Amino acid sequence: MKNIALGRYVPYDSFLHRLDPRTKLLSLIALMIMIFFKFSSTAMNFFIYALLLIFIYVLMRISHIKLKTLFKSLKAMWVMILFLLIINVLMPSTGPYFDIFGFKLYHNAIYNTLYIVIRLVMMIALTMILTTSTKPLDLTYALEWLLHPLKYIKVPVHEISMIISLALRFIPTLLEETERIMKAQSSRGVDFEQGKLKDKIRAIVSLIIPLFISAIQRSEELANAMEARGYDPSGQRTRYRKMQWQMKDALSLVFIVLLFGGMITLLVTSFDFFLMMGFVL
Amino acid sequence: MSVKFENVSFLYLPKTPFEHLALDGIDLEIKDGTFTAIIGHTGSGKSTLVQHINALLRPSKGKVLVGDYVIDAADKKVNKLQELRKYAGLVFQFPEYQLFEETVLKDVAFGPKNFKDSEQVALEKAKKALSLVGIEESLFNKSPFELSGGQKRRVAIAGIIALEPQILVLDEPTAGLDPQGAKEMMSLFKTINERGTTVIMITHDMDNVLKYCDRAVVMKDAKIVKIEQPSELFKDEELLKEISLEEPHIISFAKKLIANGMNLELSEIKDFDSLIAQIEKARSVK
Repeated sequence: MKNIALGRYVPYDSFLHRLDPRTKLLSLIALMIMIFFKFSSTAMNFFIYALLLIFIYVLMRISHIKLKTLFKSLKAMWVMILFLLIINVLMPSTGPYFDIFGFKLYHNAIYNTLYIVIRLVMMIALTMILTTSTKPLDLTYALEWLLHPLKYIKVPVHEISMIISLALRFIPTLLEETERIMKAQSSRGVDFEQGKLKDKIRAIVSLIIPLFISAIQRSEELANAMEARGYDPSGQRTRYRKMQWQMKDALSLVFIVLLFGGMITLLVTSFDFFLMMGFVL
Repeated sequence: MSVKFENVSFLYLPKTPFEHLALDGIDLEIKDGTFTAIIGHTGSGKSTLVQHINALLRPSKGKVLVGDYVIDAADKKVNKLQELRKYAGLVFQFPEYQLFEETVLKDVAFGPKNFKDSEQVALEKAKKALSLVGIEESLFNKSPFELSGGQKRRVAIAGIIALEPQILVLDEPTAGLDPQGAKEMMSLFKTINERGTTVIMITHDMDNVLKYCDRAVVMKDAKIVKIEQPSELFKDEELLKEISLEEPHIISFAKKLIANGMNLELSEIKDFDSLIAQIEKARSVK
C-alpha cells in the first residue's frame, strides 16, 4: 500500500518546497516541452539530454528525492521499454546498421528507443519533483490561476479546479480506506497475496464493493456539508492564504525562460556543436 | 494457550518522514477465557496492538505468541497464517464497511467459506451466528445495504463470530450505536466470553470496562502504563488523573454518596445492580 503513495507530498522545507506553486507549474510545463525537442544531430540530442538529466538530478537532490524512489516507480516500465524496442527494431529505417545474421538492426532504431526511454524517465522525474514538493491544494490553486483566462470563453474554471482539488484531497483517504477494508477482509480469511485467479477475483470484489459504497456515501455527505455551509460555485470567493510572487520565483522563472530561449535558438539555427568539431555519430 | 507479547515494538512507515514508534517495548499476557479491556487515548497504540494478534501487522522487534502460533519479528513469514486468522478473529471499528455480498446470509457465510468450510457448513455457521447477534430470519435474504446502521453492525460482527474463533478481538464495537443497542452488544460479548472464548476489547466506555471486564490494560504513548482489575484501577484517582482517564459514571456517583456519609464498598460496585445492593446494605446497617 505504501508503494502506491509514490510521488505524494513530503513535507520538507527545501528551496523547491518554498517556491510558489505557479512558478513550479509553469516551469514544469516549459521543461516538459523542452524534453520533446529534437535537434539537428544524434550527438546533439544526447548532449542536451545529458544536460537536462543533470539539471533534473540537481532538482531531485534539492527536493530530497532519492534516486532509489525514482527507480522504484520506473520498475513497471521495463515491459514497455522492451515493447518499444521491438517496435522500433521492426520499423524500416535508413542509415547505418548492424548486420546480425542478415537482419538489419539500424542504429536509428536503438537511438529512437533510447530517446523515448530518456524522455519517459525525465517526465516521471519532473512530475515526481512537482508532486513531492507541492501540496495538492496549492497545485490546484496554481492550476486555477493558469486556467483563469479560459473563464472569458465560459469555461467553468472554478468548478474544474474544485473537482480536481476534491479528487486530490480524497486520494490519501481512499488509500487509507482501502488498507482498512483489506485488513478487515483479511481477518475474514481473504488472501490478497496468494491464491488462484478465481480466488483473487473474489478477493478484489470483496475490496472494491465496500470501497465504492463508502466513496459514494462520502461524496454525498461532503456535498451535503458543502451546501449546508452555503457553497455556491458561481460565488465570488476570497482565499485564506494568498499566493505571493517572490524574488526567488522571479529568478527561477527567468532561468527557465533563458533555458527555454536557448533551446529554441539551438533548434531554429540547427546549431550543431559536434558538427563544428568535425564529429559525426 | 494464551496471547503473549514479548518486548514488542512497532515502527510505523520506517525510513520515511512519517516514521514513528507506534508500539514501544510491549510486554503483555492475556490468559485464556478472560475478558480484557484495552483503554487509552486516541493514538496511544491500542489499534496497532490488537492488529498484531492476528498478524495483520508484524512486529518490528520482539515476538507475539497467540496460542500455538508465533509471530516473530525475525521471521519473514508467519507459519499457518490462515489458521491463525481463524483462531483469533478481529472485528474492526465500524465493521459495517466490510459488508459486500448480495444477502445478509451470504455475507456472514463468506468468512467460513474462505476458511475452507463447505457451503452447507458455512451457511449453518452463518445462521447460528446471526441468531446469536439477534438478526431475525426474515432479514437473512435481504441485501445488507438495506439494513439500519445497528443491524449492519450486528451482521458484520456475526461475520467474525461465524468463524468460531478462540480469541475474539473487538475494536470499539459499540461506537456509534444507540444506548440500547450498545447494551445488547455488550451482553452478547459477555455470553460469548462465558462460553470460553477469550475476548479482548478496545473501548472508551469506562462503565462497560467496569461492568464486563476482568482486566484493563491502560496504554499511553505507545506503552502500557498499567494492567489492573477495573475495580482497583478506578479507585486510584491519582493514576486516573495522570493518564487523563475519566472514571465510570457509576463510580463518580458512588463517590459522591460516600462523600455525603454513606458507607459503601467501592471495589464491590460494578454496575447498577451491585450499587443498589451496596446502598441497601449500607441502609440496613443504619
